[in-house]
Amino acid sequence: MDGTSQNPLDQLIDELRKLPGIGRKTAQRLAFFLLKMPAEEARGLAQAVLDVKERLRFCRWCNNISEEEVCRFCADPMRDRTRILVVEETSILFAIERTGEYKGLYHVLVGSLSPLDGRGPADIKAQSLLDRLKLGETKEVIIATNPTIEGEATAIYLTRLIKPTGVKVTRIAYGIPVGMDLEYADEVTLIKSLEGRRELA
Amino acid sequence: MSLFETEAIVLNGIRLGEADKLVTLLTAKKGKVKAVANGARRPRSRFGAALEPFTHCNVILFEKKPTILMRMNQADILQPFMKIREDLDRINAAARMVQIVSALLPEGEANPEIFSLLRTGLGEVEKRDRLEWLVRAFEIRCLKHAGYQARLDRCLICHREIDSIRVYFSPMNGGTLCGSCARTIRDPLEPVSPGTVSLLRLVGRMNWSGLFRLKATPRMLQEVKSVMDAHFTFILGRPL
Repeated sequence: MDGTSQNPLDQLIDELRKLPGIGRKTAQRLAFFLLKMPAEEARGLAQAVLDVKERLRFCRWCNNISEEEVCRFCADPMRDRTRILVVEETSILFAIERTGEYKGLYHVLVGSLSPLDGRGPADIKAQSLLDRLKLGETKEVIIATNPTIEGEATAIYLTRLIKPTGVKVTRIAYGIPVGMDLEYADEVTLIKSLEGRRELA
Repeated sequence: MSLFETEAIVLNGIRLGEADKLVTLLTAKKGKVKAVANGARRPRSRFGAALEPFTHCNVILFEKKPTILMRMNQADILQPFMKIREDLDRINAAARMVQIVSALLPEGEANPEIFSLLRTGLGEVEKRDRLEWLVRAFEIRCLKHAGYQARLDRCLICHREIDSIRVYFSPMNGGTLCGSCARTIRDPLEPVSPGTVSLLRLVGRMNWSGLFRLKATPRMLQEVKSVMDAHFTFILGRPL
C-alpha cells in the first residue's frame, strides 16, 4: 500500500512506530487510545509536538534547549556567573536543576568523546565553552560528564583545554549511591569513593 | 538453554531501552558474544562498573538459544585497568586494541590466544609509555593469532630470500615482495625498508618486555603503521 492510499489510522501507527522502543503492537495500542481521546486533548498533543519542533532552539551561550535566543539560566541575573557546570546532554542539566542546590550557569556539550565509536572533539560543543571562558567572568568549571569511559575521556580532554586559561577545573565526586549497601558495591566504585573521601567536620 | 560462567573482557557497550545495556564481550569460553544487561545503567545496578569497556571480569551468562541474545546474570570485576581511564592517550590506545579484536573476530568462536593477548595488552597500556609502539606490536600479534600472520622472510612470488634494499609489502599476498617481482604486479603495495621488515619479524616472536627493549625510529614506526593499515584494510574490506 502506498502512502497516498493509507488510511489515517495506519498512518498514525506507522508514525508512532518510529519512536524508540515502540513496536507494532504498542503503536497500535497507542493509536487506538489516541482515537478514543477527546478531540481537544488530541489537538493539545499534536500542538505540543509541533511547538517542540518549531519554537525550541539551542541557547546561543550554553546550548541548552530554549524558546529564546538565550535560555532562562543564562538570562537569569540572580545566578552565579562565576561557575559553569558542564554536562553531556540537556536531560542531565534538568536532573541537576531538580536538586535545587546548584545556582551557577551550565554548558551542554551535546555529546561526548568516544574513542570506541570514533566520536572526536569535533562532535562536542567545546569551542563555545572556551569562548565563554574568554569573557573572564568564570572562576570555576565543574565537569559533570558521566562516570563512563566516554565521560572520562571528555573530562580529560576538557581539562587539557581549560587548564591553560587559568580557570579552576573540578570534577563531580565519584562514589557510593546514597541508600546503597556497601557490601554490594563493586571494586572500582569503592576505590573511587576511598580516593574521594573527605574529612568530617 | 544454559547458564555458563566465563572470564571476559568488555569490548564495548551501547545503551538499550530505558536503563539497559547491550554489551559486547570477549569471553574466554565462547569468544566474542553480545549480551543484554538489564538495568545496568541504574545507579544501584548490581553490575556497577563491571561493564565499562576494558574491564576484565568474571561473568555468568544465560544463553537460551544461539540465535537469541544472551542475558547477563552476574559480573564481578577481576581487573578494572583503572589507570587506563585516567589518561586520554591510554584510553585511545586501549580503544584501538578492542576495536581491532572486535573487527577481526567473528561471534561465538573462542580464541584463547587473543583473549590472553588482549588481557596482557591492556595491562601493558596501564604501565607503558611507548603507547604507539605498544599498539603496533599488539596489531601484529593479533593478526598472527587471528590467522592472518604476514610472511616476511621471502618474496611471495619468486620465493627468494629478502635481501635487497627495495622491499614491498603486498596486502593481497599477505607478505613481502622483492623489488623485481613488485614491478610485475598491479596491486597496491607499501614500500618498506629491510630494517622495518626485520622489526616486524621480531615482534611476532618476542615477549612484552623484550619488545620494549627494541628501538624503532620514527620512520620505521611510520612504515609499520602504513603496512598494518593496508593489511587491515585488505582483510576487513574497509579501513579500521
